[in-house]
Amino acid sequence: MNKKFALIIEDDVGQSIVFAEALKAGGFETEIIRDGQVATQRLSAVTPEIIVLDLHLPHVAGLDILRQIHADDRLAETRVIVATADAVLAKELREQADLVLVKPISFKQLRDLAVRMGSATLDE
Amino acid sequence: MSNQQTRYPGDILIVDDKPANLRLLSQMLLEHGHTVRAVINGARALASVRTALPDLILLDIKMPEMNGYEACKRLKADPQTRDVPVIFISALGETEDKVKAFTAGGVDYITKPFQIEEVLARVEIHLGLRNLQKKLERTNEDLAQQRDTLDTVLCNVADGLVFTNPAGEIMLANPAFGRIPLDPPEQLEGTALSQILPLAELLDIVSDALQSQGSVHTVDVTLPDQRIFRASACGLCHDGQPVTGVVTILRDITHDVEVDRMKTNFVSMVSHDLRTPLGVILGFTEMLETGVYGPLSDKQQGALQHIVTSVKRQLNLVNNLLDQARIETGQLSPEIALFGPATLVKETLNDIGILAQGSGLELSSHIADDVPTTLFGDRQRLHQVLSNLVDNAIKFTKQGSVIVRVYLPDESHWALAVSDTGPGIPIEAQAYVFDPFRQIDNSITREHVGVGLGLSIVEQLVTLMGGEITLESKVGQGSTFTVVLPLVTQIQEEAS
Repeated sequence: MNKKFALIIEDDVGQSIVFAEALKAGGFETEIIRDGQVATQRLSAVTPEIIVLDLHLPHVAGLDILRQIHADDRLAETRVIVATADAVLAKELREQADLVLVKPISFKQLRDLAVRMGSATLDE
Repeated sequence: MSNQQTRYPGDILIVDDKPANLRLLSQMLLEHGHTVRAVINGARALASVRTALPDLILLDIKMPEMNGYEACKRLKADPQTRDVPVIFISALGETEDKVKAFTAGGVDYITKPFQIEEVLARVEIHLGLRNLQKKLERTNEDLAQQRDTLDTVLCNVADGLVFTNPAGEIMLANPAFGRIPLDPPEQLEGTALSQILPLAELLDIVSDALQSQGSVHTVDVTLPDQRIFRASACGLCHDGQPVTGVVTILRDITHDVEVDRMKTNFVSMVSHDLRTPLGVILGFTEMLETGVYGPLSDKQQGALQHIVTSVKRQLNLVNNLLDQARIETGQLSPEIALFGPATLVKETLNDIGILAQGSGLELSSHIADDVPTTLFGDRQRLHQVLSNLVDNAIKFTKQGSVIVRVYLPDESHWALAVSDTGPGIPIEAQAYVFDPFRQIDNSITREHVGVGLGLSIVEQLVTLMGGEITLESKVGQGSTFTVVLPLVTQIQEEAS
């Protein structure tokens, strides 16, 4: 059986690796995209189980990508984890994402979360 | 003859062509305390008056060369001399002569032969009147000067100032106010304020001020051209009478608001850019710690602990800066949720406790038995408050102990106290220990580098959470910071 797929949209190299490792520990296959525009194109081709979305991206704003995800029926089942360093923005976005994490995000916390999400999706 | 001294000693000019009359009048007036000049005709009288103005003139009518009427007319025609009162003294007793004298500008008329008492009495009255007149003139001048000063001040005040009556009509406005409306009318006075500046918030505070004398009502208003003004309205009352009108001051704060916004943006951006790399360091450290990249030796684990602690401290500093910016712009509000006070203390001490390791400093905590296991509060902010206080205590305490205590000072409050055995804070420094960007003394600052935001943030966060922070300290005997917060064990359902 294929591994569940997680797409990480994050422009900071180090941060994207931390996200990827945490998700891998949860049994996900990961792909990292560091540019908003590339992310927009890629999202029309793949159907990830989880998207980790940084809101602070070059070229296309994270909020626009979030809107694109919501507008696409194909991605209706996709869980979106928004990552932002802005606590005020995080509060405003609670309704629009499955989970909003405020940076700095603990590796252990995200890993534990990924493990739970991974097993939950496998059980379905 | 009365020897009583005059109440109004004056400089009196006597004009008479008969030396005997001059002598008699002079002597009499001198005896009563006046100063006297005596001349023998109208021309000399005019010359004398122009040299120095007398307070009163006693003027004969029938004189050679220039008679009394003519002399009087000339004095009254000259603005310099027309205010000097002239009393005619003449042997001419017909009503016609008297009328002529008054028409020429005389204030009184005494017929010869005169009674000395009558002359003295009339001189006294007219000097008194002249005195009163001079006083009035001076008062008027003073008033005019005061008005000029007030006008100058009003005209040069940079803020717009407007006084409106209870009906909302402008009674008075300075030029700066006139420059505020985009399309000001030619005549401000008498026009309704609502017509010139139709801004609901502004009109609201003006009518609020009308209801409450003395208190100042303030609001920021934005004009259609995006200029921002801070309006302060105050109802005027006079001698306990009801409010007679409202004075409103409008200050252009467009620039200040812009600077504030830029400052907030700058701090937010800097904080964001500082937090991101710290988050990555923390992430990789945790990955190493949890063995993602293979097992580590004990020494390596220990080294990682130091990295984690330092990064968390650094994060705390950045969070302080970010919060300072948010508090200044009113963007920070507490997030209330259930948390365990014991866990809060344990976690905080775990995070920064390593700082005390190896220094011989004893770090401990004590939770009183009656403290509930769970409370409502903003866990993250409380963690920040406690971190700052403990971090501070460790920073300034070379040896001894740092103790965190949680207890209930009364039924409706819980307290979080951090005590240390550090150097203590001098009384005079305790007053400003919570001021931002300030540390208690320069010698300490050099030894303990910091931005001086910790305690200021702590106080602001505590205030935000509805609590209070107090400091108890004596030089040489350590310090105790106590945070007292409202005790909330259950949140009441809001009536819907």
